[in-house]
Amino acid sequence: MRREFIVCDPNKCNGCRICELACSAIKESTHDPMLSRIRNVRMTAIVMMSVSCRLCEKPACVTACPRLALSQEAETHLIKIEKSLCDGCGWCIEACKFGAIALNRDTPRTVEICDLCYDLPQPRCVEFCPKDALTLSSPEQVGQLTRRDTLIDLITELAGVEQL
Amino acid sequence: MSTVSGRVLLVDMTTRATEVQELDPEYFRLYLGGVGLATRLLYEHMPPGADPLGPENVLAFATSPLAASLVPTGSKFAVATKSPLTGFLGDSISSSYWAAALKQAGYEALVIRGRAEKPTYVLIDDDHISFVDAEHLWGKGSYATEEQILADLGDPEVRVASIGPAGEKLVRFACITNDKERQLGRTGPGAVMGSKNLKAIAVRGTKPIRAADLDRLSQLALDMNHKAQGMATAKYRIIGTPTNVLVLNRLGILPTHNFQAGTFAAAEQVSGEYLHEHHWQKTVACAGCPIGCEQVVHVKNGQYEGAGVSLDYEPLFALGPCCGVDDLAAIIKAAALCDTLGMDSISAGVTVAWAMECYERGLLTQEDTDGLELNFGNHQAMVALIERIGRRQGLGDVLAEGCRRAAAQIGGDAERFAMQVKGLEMPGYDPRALKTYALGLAVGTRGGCHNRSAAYEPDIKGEVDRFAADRERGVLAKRQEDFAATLDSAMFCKFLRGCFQDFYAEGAEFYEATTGLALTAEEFKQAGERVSNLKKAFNIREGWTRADDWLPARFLEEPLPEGPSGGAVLTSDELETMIDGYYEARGWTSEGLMTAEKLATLGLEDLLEERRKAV
Amino acid sequence: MVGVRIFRTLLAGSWPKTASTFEFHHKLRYGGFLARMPCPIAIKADHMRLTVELFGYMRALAKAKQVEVDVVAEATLHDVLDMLVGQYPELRSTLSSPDLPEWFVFYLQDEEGHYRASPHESRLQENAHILQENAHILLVPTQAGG
Repeated sequence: MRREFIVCDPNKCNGCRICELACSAIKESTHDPMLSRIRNVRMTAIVMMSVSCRLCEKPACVTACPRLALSQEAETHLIKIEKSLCDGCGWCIEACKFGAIALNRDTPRTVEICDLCYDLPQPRCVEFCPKDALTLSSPEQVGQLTRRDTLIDLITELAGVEQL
Repeated sequence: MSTVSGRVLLVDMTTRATEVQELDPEYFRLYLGGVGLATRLLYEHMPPGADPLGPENVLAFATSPLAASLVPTGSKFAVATKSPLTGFLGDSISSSYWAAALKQAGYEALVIRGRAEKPTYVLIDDDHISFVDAEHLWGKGSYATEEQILADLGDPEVRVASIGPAGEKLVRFACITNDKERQLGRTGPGAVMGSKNLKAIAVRGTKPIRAADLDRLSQLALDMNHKAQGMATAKYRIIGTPTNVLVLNRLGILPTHNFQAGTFAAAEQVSGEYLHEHHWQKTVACAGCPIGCEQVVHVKNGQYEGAGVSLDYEPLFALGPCCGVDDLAAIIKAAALCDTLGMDSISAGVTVAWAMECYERGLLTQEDTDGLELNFGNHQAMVALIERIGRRQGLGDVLAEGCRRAAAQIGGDAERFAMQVKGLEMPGYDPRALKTYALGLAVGTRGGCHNRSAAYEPDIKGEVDRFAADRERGVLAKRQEDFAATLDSAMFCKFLRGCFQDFYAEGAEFYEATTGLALTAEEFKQAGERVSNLKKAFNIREGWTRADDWLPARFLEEPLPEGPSGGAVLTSDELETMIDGYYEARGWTSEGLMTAEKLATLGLEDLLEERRKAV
Repeated sequence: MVGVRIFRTLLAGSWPKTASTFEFHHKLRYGGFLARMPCPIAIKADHMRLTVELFGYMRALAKAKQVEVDVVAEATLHDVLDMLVGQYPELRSTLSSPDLPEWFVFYLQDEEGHYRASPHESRLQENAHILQENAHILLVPTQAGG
């Protein structure tokens, strides 16, 4: 099965953070960016992007967990958390290179990772993003989209010259 | 379940005492939140006649009950205080994460009184409140202040509202900045914070925000997010409010050279279209907003290289055509300076324009201006003066008082062309050829404000003849004010208003799905009228009389000289008639005061014993 | 590609690429570089040519500050709107929208040279508001705020 995850286009992302509210709302019935599985980062006034679990082929979080509470489903590549084993130590949070793991501060503490809203028709963040910056894509699709965008830019630039 | 906690945090800067009170739940039905709630709290906690820059003045911050949730554009908050610029109600609105943080900390509102002995900032960490020494922050611009606080606390999720040097130096139109880029802009709340030695309010909130009906709210929000990408918001998303420059210039109502004229020869060079082509980088959004209207622009080369800001029409007009400046790079630089120093760019720009007119008329000499050649169009002088105002240096110290007080200092003719209403400097539309707007401007509780009524809307949309005036304009001005008051209290962004078919019904739906409070569309609407009257009651208590509802002499004595609105002027008769019509539409006396009956119908009887002058 | 962009920007009336790929796709689909078709033939005797001035994002869509419409003599605003929609496909989605009266108003000059808003009903009525030769019309976006 193709490995898909949430991809954010930084050109379209405008830092509204509605994705964080939508995620925490559907997952935790509260509005709390800290409990969202997808996190938006604003680096400067114009540089911003949302990041969530990349469903890595060799997930560092799974390797890191000292209590073997994390595992990866072979079919879907989703990371599964065995809540009874997780004690909220946060080692996986440090291991993840994307900062894609959230610590749920409620008692008892456990971690939360994006599960692509597998039980819904589409991921909530993708549904709510007002600028269509988020898509559920595989690495192959991401490459294809980027190639297509570049081609459109090129054609329009050339067409623009012809117009003059 | 509700997103409303109903708690207000009271903070005394003098004694460092803090207290949490439960708000009467009726307050949310009566005032909704935001501006309405903030004004109510101000009314209750500030003693009548307090000195705006003294310890008795109160800063009442109130969030929207819809903040921190999926409600589109709901993440807003308001501050109400007695304005050091006008002496009347100073209410201001801002957006973004600070509002969400305060709610997540468990508070609807925050009331601050007193005065700290030395520079301090307040840290609100859920239930734990601390007063932190801010000596090392004093003197820093708003951006640097926030960066430092985040570094000190080691937590990038803390949200900060702060003042810059302008607020510290009590520049009368100093603003409060939150989340680095947003402002509680007008009427000088930054100076009130400065007078309390309060450098910043940092908030960390971790409590849940649970909507009463999350499924319903999610559906409403999703629908509204889609609508927010349509034509109703296209102007804001693409090119933005700076679109107004060429529109108003074409109609002959673009304030030029301190409102001497209505057309600007170099309008194309400072237009929104030009700005978009030469300076635009990206359009971004504030928290929870599906529209995204912030036009981030920067200067790529030249003497102002590196300056960057999110620019809207009002700062553009005030620092541009109003000062005769035709250089967008200079305007961007000046707007960025206003942001860093922490002051209202409209008031700053219009005050500089006044100073320019004084200079050209010989009322100010080069000695007064510290060598600056303060002619209209001299953008270096404009930029230099903005810096000096923010730091109260040289002539900046006089101008930091606002153009009304500065004009009173100079005396004579200078007061005639100080373009302000009740002390608050004029926004970017010429009322001589927008007569409903002229009325809204004259009677507004904030002073020279376009935002709390947007009374130019009926004029520009052609609902009425913008060149004519009549008594019935009073009905329109009331309608506009009450609509804005509901929006500002609920709170929704004014840029979202076009996405509602029936604002009161749909707004009430959002309100109920979030807070659990079931208000009818009629109650939702009435809250707006109630808040408008509450604001007025505050002003009356602080000494307002009918004489305060008037416009600068220029609009009544000097017709627009030329251009597409050439010859237009407002007569005293016209203004009097419209004001009469407005008081009548409001159900007030001919002197603009509120009868006991009127207060009773609005549920504001408890204001009765405070009134000294009501009939 | 950068050189091409600079070259384009140097010439008057050209517009840089839009904010996002999303808007780009919109332009490509609704006209983009196949945009407006100027009217090269002479005006017929019973026709007149009017100009409509555009502002803000409408200018970006049309790639022009103002556009010309060729209408019958004694045309009304209703006819102008029809012709605009017909001749300028990139403006079509905006101008054909039922929300148009809410967000755009046509302004015409009176005898004193003042621009006045024409009530939006006049655009719907076929016999209202007859225009003169060489009339210069403004298409003004009316969303409030600044």
